[in-house]
Amino acid sequence: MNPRSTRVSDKEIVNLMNAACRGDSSAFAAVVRATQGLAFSLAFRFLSDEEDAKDVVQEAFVNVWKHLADFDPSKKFTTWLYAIVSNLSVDSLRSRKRRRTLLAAGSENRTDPIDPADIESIHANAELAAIIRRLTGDLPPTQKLVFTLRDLQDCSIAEVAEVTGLSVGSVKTNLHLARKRMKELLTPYEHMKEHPA
Amino acid sequence: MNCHESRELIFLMREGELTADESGRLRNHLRTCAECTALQTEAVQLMKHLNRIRSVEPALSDPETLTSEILSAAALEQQKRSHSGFPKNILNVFSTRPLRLVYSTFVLGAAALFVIQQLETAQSVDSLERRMMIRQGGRTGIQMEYAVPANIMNVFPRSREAQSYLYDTGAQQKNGTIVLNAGTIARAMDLVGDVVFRSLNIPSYETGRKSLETIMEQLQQATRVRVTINPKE
Repeated sequence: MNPRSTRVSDKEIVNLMNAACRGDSSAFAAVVRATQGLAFSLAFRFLSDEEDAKDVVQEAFVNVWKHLADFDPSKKFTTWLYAIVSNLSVDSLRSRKRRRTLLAAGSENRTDPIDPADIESIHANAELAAIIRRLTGDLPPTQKLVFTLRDLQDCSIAEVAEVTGLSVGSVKTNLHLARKRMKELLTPYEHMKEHPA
Repeated sequence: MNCHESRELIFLMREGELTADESGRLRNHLRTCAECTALQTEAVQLMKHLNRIRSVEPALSDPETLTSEILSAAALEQQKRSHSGFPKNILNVFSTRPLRLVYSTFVLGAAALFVIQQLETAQSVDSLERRMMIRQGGRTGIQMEYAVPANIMNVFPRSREAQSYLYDTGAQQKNGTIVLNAGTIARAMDLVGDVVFRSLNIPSYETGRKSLETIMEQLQQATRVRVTINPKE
């Protein structure tokens, strides 16, 4: 799993979670500080929206707090957190799509080809969100989630399976379909580069 | 391996995605098939782009604020739980058969009432959304944000969805008055009840029409804009 956002080891997280279970709220605060970046990163990459991602992260940690006793110390905390964030992100996406359909202002399903130069020039959240939205906007939620966990969050296939509850075979199938779709969005520009008019 | 099988595997090229046997058979097929080799070149190119996207870590602005919001929401959750527990010995009151019957009837009646209220609210919200769609035509949620005073943001600091429900009703602002819709405000309360009531310093709340008058008063005080409930609702 992506180690970039956390500076606390898995073992320390387990110790902090055990302390939080015994009522130590400062231990829970330390868990939040150590892992909110990871949770935000997943929610942002899935939803392509900073505020929606923060809402999901807040709700996810409240769920963690409510269900502290359900944490299994033999498993990685981040896997459990990712599962909660994933479920809430999928719900948030569905709710957003439902509202956009009602207001007839849907801009989620963009299928125009993507210029790879736009990918090279990503620097800020807004550019990153725009590219991810265009790449994954028309993917079904399961493909989108598997792709986000594996190709953007850098989870292993086994971790993706554990987070999503899918079999390893199903994870690979969803990943294959998602990447095939990405290729279709990127290839027209690659061909134009190779064979300019 | 044939081309069909090869194309099922060609996009699975990161570590741990193919077994050693699958990799070997794919390699052998690519040696003899120009079409699949061309597709593989495109897949490699795709993986380079994805590596680039993955290397950009989304920046979390102001992490300390998010931490405080999370801890406040968790503390509120804790408060709710500690206040909601029934003293265990209260159940002894219902230990005799006639009282159990009364109690069961009461619970069933309350459950039925709750279901009816929920259905009414759902219908009200659905019909409101349909009317909004007709009234606003192609306007987007972003444009609607300008229809209400900016300080309403302070009342709803978190959930965008709840904010947008308010913005939608805010489109009815007339002569310095925001006309809020009973079904809509109840839905917004359900979404961000804790956060809203913390902002308004109200210790607890109940959703539904009974508490709407209180909500209106508090919103009015917080936004300093006159707030009324849509009489048509």
